[in-house]
Amino acid sequence: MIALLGTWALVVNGTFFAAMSIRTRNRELMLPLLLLPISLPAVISMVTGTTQVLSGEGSPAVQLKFLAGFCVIFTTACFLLFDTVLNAE
Amino acid sequence: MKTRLFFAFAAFCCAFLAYGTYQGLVVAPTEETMGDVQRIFYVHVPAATVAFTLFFVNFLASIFYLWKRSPRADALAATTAEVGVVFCSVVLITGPIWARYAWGVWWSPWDMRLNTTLMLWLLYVSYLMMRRSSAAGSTSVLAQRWRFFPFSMCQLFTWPTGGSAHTIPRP
Repeated sequence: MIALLGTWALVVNGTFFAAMSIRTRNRELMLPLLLLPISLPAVISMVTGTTQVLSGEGSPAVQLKFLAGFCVIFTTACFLLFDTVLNAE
Repeated sequence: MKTRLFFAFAAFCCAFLAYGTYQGLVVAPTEETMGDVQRIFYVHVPAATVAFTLFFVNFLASIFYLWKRSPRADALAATTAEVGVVFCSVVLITGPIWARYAWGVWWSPWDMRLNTTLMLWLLYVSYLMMRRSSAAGSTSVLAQRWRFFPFSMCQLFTWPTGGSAHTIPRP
């Protein structure tokens, strides 16, 4: 579940920000710069959730909820704004 | 007219800053448990308030720009982001200084409030860099920058989930 949601979060963000940074100068530099802070919350909750599952200490429910919320918000936002990003000429 | 207004406001700000500094350092009594270190709150907390207010204005201006494409909203968003980053830096600099004395550590890595603030700062710095690196003079390309905004705010909304950083007892 964590792997599924985590992959989804990274893919959605990655695609969207790749489309966005393709129009900037220094685009090779821009993508990681934008992608790192935006996906950090997802990465943190993935790491914490996995740690909790593997070590058996505490329940990963909170992390899963956070990750699910993250996916929902970003998927919606990306769908809504993808056209505008691509047609920003 | 504009420069005169600017100097008037600058003088006004300096006067208030001087008054505030005097109140914070001299008039306010020393806090019982933390001692003089607590006085950093008089800088830290207002800076945080200002930063978050500015980021919120930025969020609203960005949405307005997406909706109406008004250049004034664009300018407002740019200004609030720049000034907000400055104040957010102040928060991130004064915070660890206080934490060093109050908690005994510079940074508590598992405190979500600290981390989300750092992320917020990173986001806005990358946002500003993205603005700079867009094709020069092309407002249409600038348009895409605004998409970044709602996201930055999502970051802000995740913040309260971390619980209160400032209630962690002294180790």
